[in-house]
Amino acid sequence: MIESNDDANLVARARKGDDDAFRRLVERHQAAVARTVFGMLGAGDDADDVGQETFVRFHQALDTFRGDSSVRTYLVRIAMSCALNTLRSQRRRELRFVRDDAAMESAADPDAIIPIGDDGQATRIRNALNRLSAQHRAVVVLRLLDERSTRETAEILQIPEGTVLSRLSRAVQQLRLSLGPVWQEFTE
Amino acid sequence: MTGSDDMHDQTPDDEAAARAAGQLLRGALPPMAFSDGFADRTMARIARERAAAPPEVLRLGAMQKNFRLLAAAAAIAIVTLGAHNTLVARTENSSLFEAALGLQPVSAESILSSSSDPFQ
Repeated sequence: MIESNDDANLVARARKGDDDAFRRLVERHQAAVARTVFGMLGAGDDADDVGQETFVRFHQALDTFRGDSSVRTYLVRIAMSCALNTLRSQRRRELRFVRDDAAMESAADPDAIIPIGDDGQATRIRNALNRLSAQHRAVVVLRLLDERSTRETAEILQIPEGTVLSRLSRAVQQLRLSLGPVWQEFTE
Repeated sequence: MTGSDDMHDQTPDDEAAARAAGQLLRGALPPMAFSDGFADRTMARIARERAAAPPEVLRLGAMQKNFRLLAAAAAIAIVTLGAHNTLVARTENSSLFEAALGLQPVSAESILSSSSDPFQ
């Protein structure tokens, strides 16, 4: 199902080569794509690049987009796939170049580096999120940051709903352990 | 993926913890939005990639489109012809399949009785 008549019209016009219509689609859905990409990768050049890549791929797939899912869900699925690919290549780069012990130590304890002007909490939370595996992080981003339902999360990640729930449960346990006092302070 | 990922054992405590984690994450992380001009950058990239696409890629896309149209037209023609044959040319001796293909019934007798062309 296409989410709204506006989206359906814009997709139809964009298929015929109307760039203004595609630009409207970008403007309408960039916030949802940003939440997915920033949630998975954090802020930085990679996030902007993956955001653009998401829309480029959607543009290339316009002819084959049947509208079985909404434009937003379809875009979030592409964004998640691009973000997971980027995480994989980031990991390969790290494995190739991080060789000396000091760098390894710093990577193992990201809390050691806190940007100036940050009270540390946001960085600690970001680092706790980054310590989750890509699969667990994807569930946290969609269910908790983007506040999507379990069903939608399952649809986007193409996994059963039961797997979404168990991954979420494990991810929250890990966040709790990573955050320690921050978590306790928040829940008291 | 771990083995336990496939098991669903959600409890009310899990739900409460997930809610708390969601509030903590949403409250602490900075706003997640692309910087100004994102739509411009995206449209410029699409234009660049379109301009950089080699002509054979564009030609392949056009050929795929034409092939899809031709395949659809051929399928419609086959179904129409088959239906026409079935309705108009079917005789008592021919099966539905033979009729749809426009085949004339051939028997041993008809072959033996004609020395040259059994279909005439």
